[in-house]
Amino acid sequence: MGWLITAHRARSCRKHLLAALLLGMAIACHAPALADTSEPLATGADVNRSEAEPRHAAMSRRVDELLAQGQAAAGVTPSSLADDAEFLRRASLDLKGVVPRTSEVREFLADQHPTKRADLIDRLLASSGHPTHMATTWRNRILPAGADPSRQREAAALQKWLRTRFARNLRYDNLVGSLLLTNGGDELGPALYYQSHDVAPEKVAASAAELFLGVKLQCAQCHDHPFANWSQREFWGLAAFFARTKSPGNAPGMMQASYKLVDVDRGEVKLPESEEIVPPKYPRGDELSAEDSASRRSQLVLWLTSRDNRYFSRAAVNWAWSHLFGKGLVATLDELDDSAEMTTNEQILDELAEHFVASKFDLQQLWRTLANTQAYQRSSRFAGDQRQPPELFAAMLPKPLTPEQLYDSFMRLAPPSETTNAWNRAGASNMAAMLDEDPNRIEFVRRMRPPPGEPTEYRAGTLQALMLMNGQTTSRVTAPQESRLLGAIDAPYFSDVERVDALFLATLSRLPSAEERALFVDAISAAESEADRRQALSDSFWALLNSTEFAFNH
Amino acid sequence: MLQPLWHLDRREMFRHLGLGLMGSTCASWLPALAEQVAADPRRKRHCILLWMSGGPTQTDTFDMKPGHNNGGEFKEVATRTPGLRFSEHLPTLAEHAERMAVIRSLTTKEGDHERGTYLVRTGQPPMGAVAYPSIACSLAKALGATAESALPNYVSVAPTQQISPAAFGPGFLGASYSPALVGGAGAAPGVLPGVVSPKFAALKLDDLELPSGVGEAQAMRRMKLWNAMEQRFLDDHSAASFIAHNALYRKAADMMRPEVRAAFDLSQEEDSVREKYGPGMFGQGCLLARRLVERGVPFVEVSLGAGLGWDTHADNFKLVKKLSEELDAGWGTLMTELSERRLLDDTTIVWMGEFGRTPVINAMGGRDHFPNAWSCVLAGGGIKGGQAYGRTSDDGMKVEEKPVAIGDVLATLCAALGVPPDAENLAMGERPIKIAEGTPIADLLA
Repeated sequence: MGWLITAHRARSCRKHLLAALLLGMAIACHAPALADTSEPLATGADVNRSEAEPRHAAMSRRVDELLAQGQAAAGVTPSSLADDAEFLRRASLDLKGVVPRTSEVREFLADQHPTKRADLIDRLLASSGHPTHMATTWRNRILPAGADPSRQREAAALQKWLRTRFARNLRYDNLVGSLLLTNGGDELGPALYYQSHDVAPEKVAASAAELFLGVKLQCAQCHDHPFANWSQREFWGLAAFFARTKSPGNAPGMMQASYKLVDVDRGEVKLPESEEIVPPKYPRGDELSAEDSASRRSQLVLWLTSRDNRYFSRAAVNWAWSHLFGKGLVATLDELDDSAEMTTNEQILDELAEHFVASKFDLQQLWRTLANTQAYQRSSRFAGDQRQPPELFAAMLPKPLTPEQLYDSFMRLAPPSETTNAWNRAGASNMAAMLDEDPNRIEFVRRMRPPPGEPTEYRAGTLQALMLMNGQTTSRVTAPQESRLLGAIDAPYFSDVERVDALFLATLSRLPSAEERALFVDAISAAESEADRRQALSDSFWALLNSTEFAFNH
Repeated sequence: MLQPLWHLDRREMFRHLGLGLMGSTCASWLPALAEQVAADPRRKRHCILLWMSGGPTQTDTFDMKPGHNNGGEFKEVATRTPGLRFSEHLPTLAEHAERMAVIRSLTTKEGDHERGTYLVRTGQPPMGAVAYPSIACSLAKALGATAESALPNYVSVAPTQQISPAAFGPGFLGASYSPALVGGAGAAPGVLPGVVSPKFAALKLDDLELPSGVGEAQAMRRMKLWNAMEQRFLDDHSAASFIAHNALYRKAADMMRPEVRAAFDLSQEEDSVREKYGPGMFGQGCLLARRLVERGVPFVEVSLGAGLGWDTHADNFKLVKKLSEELDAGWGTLMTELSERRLLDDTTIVWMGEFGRTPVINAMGGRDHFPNAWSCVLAGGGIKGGQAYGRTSDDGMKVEEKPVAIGDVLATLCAALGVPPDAENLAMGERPIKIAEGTPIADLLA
């Protein structure tokens, strides 16, 4: 538990932190963090090995222990553990972005091995779907909500760039560093982060503060933070680090094939409605001592991604937690106060953050740690009528599937569409084809995208419901003559019971209850002709795909 | 236990499924709705946006320059309002001039279709970090707060969204505030705009009809299975978001009820009425707008100029004559019928495009993009009609009196509809953003 002690000591010695920080900067100047903008797979120290260290299991237990203390103090009994089917579906959606295949469900249910859930987590993290899902999640996370659809091509490039990095489990600090230090040009993708924030220092700063420090500083742009101790000056001090990053020769709104970013030696920010220049200053830290040859933003990145920057690691952990649990351990780090006594959740965050740093910012290990907790395995059903405070994490919070999860899960069940084939054949002249984005998926996601907000909220409208009931995506998946799944289970050697079971496994990733089975078998066996039966299968399929159960990760 | 729904007819079944769905019962399930219900429950207001895709020429419509070289071929004629004069090709509208206010001094800074469209429809300069909603989505949200209709809050007929997709969308409000698209243009790749039948343009609301190949009886079987699954699931899962999902589906099923879908069935109108509106997408869209307003839909948009129809860089007069005739039939008849039905006092109509066109006529007999001094029109409810506001120079090249910014137009529209322009929506969960940032123009408000 040595690292825990370090954490406590660090909290009490802020002055020492600064010294460590400066030292860290000196060392990090030569670290691969700054060099890692190249595409080829690196094999050096920046790539984490996914070894199953005993430490992460201990950390998972520690999280459960702390949560149990909080629950006990609040007099709340946690929900029982989710059953295997529920857990498989949950972990697949969270870590891979898609519902499990029928065969995976059957195998998992049959598996008698005591460590099968931990093994599943390892399998999912090693799957090719994991980096894809992480890239999608990150792309949605770092670009402004409702980002301009005309930048689809750049967004696809960003997705690809991110995916490459998640696939090799690049250290989190290096990932953030290489995103923020991109120069664009031939490196397609990450420059979109700057571009979609107009390369405006205050916009990039507000976004970076929220993403990587967990601090919502937008309101400090115009005035001091109303609730927490963040001054307007502090915000502009951060923005000043981005004041010298420019995109030459790009008229606003014009997109070139290669969007370049350069660091120049002039450019300042001023306090709004004043002529006062604000020098670069690390949030809650010192002013940049002297301008040296390193660009301002690279100096910021050194500070930001330092292992001693506890905002950085805590923000990462809090986000990862909310990805799995639907809600962060804390709402924001705005009010982080080291002198006050920590709440249970702050304590958990703190220890997880230290663990994350000690693991050399190993994201996969972080996922493994969180997903192996008992808390992550809790059922979303709660005991009794009492709805417990969600921040106790005594029951799993259901999350609506994202548009991407919904589409990809549909497509598991769909035939290869003609449109998709045509688009694949279109050749290199087609930009979408070059970047492997299915135009139907883009359109589906555009029409289904909810407003940004909590992952647990369901905020679709009737148009989205109509689209799922009557739209072409659903029709294609459920059409009796086209559906791959319906074709397969229509084979004469299947009984109606087997057909119903297959439909449930494919959609809800579980077997039907006896009552449900009877209901659906009745509907199917009432058919008088083969065509009728196919239609009844299609209707059953439709009902399951449109069910509330299917629409959620619960 | 499930009722034997298959004994009921479809209409009854949907009513059964939608029972208790509307009104206050669902407010507690849907936080967004609850917030809306808190809004002022005054009389229902409606807004109809007539969007002129491509940028309409002011010089040949509402700000003519007779006697000047820039004036062009059309004659200026008197309207019902002494001193207010329109183009000769807008005779029906001239009859309604006392309900129309022409803003002749609009000035904007974007002369590109994409950027201009974004600016005019959102009131915000393009390409910012915030994805602003179009004013249509914001107003539909605000006006829809008290709507009890099973119909969508915002129906848009045949918009040319491709030119500037973000300008037509709900931005940070989220996809649930998107328009329900009629005609299908821009709805999905490969879907064509409404096919013109021999006599009238056919309008169809996306996804409201059952998918092809699925009959009514089959749809009923589906809903029956669905409902059985839902009841079982909700019996032991009580998260608010589950209930919201279920409620939303029932509302959508409600919309599919025949009498609700009938709102979109223009064949229920006399042919003589349909002819008066004009046979094209715009005319039929205006008729649809009237039917939807009658049924309580708060916001309807109808586009004229499929693609960029008003982008008359060449052959301006021939094209604009044709467009004007279509405009006059559709909009003029809409004014007449809304007025006859006493709906015009509650319905504010906006006519605008992304910018105006150069007063100077180019070598190809066309007019080019011109954001410096152009016109838009506000009409009907809340608007002090029978006036032209602002003035351009004799050659039409610059604003000489009372320059108006786009934010002021949008704020005036809000005010006319009884929606406070400074009503705020939260972007990214926490940043309050006003619906319109300009100042309402008092002289234009009734």
